[in-house]
Amino acid sequence: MIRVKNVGLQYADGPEILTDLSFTLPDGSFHFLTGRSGAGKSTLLRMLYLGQRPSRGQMEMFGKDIGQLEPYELPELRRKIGVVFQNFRLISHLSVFENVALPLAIEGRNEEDYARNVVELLDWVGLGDKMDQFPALLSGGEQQQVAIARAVVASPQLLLADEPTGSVDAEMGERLLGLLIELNRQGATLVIATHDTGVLASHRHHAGELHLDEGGRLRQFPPVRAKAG
Amino acid sequence: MFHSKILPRQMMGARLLPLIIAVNVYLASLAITGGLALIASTGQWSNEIEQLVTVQVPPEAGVSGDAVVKSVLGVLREHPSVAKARPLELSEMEALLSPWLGRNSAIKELPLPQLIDVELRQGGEIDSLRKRLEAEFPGVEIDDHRQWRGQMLALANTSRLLCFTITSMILLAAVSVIVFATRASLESQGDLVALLHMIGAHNRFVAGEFQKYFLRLGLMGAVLGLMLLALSLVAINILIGDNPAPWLMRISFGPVDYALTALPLLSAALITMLTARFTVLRTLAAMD
Ligand SMILES: Nc1ncnc2c1ncn2[C@@H]1O[C@H](COP(=O)(O)OP(=O)(O)O)[C@@H](O)[C@H]1O
Ligand SMILES: [Mg+2]
Repeated sequence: MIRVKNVGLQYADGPEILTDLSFTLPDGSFHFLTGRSGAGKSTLLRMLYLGQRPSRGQMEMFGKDIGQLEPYELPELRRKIGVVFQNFRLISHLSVFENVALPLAIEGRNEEDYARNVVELLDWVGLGDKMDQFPALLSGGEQQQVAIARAVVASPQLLLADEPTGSVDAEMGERLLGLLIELNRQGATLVIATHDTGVLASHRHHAGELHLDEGGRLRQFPPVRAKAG
Repeated sequence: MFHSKILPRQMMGARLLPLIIAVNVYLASLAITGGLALIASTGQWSNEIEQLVTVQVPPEAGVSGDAVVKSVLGVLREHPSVAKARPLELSEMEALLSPWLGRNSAIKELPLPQLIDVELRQGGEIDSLRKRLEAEFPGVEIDDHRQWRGQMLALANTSRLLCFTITSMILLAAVSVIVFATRASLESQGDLVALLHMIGAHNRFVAGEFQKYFLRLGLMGAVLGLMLLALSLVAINILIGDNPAPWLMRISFGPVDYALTALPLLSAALITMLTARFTVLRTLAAMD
């Protein structure tokens, strides 16, 4: 359960990008995060993956009041969160396998212990034959697959994706979305930032919506149950 | 050794780091070696000078000049402060004076004082000796080279200070260059550090990875620098040969000197490692 109450966020001493945010994400829920470009979607996701603390208000995650935590307590929480970054953020000197295994390697575990899991995951996302490639040689869609695999490899409780279908065609987009939704079915809370109306239209029947409006305020909508069809 | 699953095998600029460290370590070690040799040799000079005095028996002592010299020598050799006393031969006087008077000059004809080289015992004092000689043999002078000795000591102290200053500056330059190169190399890994931070890596884990990586580079550089230094010392000793001119010391080192020379090597590796550690930790701290 994630509870956000009266949260405001500004960068340095700039204007408030997010204003009076209050919402709740139940465990295992699925929401799209929408709003025009520059509305603050990436900023809100950054706040949710603990990359940026709110300037005011309260945020509760995994039973912890985030405002009260010391910096050294944050890594443990971050490990429960998987993020698909908008620009992938793949590490160019690491192979596909090593990129995906990174969240496991930072736990100090031995490669032998997790190698099989990583290989299985890569097969599942469709990159089984590209394990030893380096990111620069992959297509945009393949890079996005690597980013998704890395986000889910440590079985996160919260999965955040920033425009995961932004740089691929509709068919690949659906495929990538399918991977994230599968993780949500297995229990992860899922938030996907998107401005892709096609994606919204085909998935709003089972996903809620968090909409950021012009003033940096947020409105929350439940899934649209009465979908014609 | 120190294989990292996370860092690139070749970090930008890291290839040059061992070379940069080697050269700087080499220069620093060389400066220290030179300093130690200089300090050792000036120490030796001033010790020697401290123990030499010259006694002058003036020519006015008359026909019985030789007799006076003999009695002066007798007094000197009995005195508890004196280790050795030896009158200068005429040929030695000639050698000393030839720059002024030229060779084959009629030195014998000149009314020259007879000089006696006196070597004092360790800790021997000359005041009582001076009193006794001046009382018994009017006109006899005892010169403890105070003025010359003062100049030599001043020169020795100045060169030590200079050597210390130069060594410090080389060390300072070495430290700056190593810190700078390490940071530059780390800078190329900013994306990696940020990503590791965001996916929940502990600061000590990230710092540890970089620390190990840069310690390895530091040690490589230090060993390379040590090899350069060893080669130079061997070469210098060969060039000086077995019979060095008095002003060229053979560099012969004791354990303390070796330890001092090794200091830049170990420091360089350590500085490289610590720079990496603290730069990474500071970068990470700024992210929370
Ligand atoms: N690191 C930052 N520092 C300062 N301002 C930022 C930063 N990141 C984003 N912003 C500003 O915050 C606003 C929202 O940006 P963003 O969250 O990226 O919007 P979106 O993802 O909805 O397009 C923009 O006006 C942007 O310029
Ligand atoms: Mg964005």
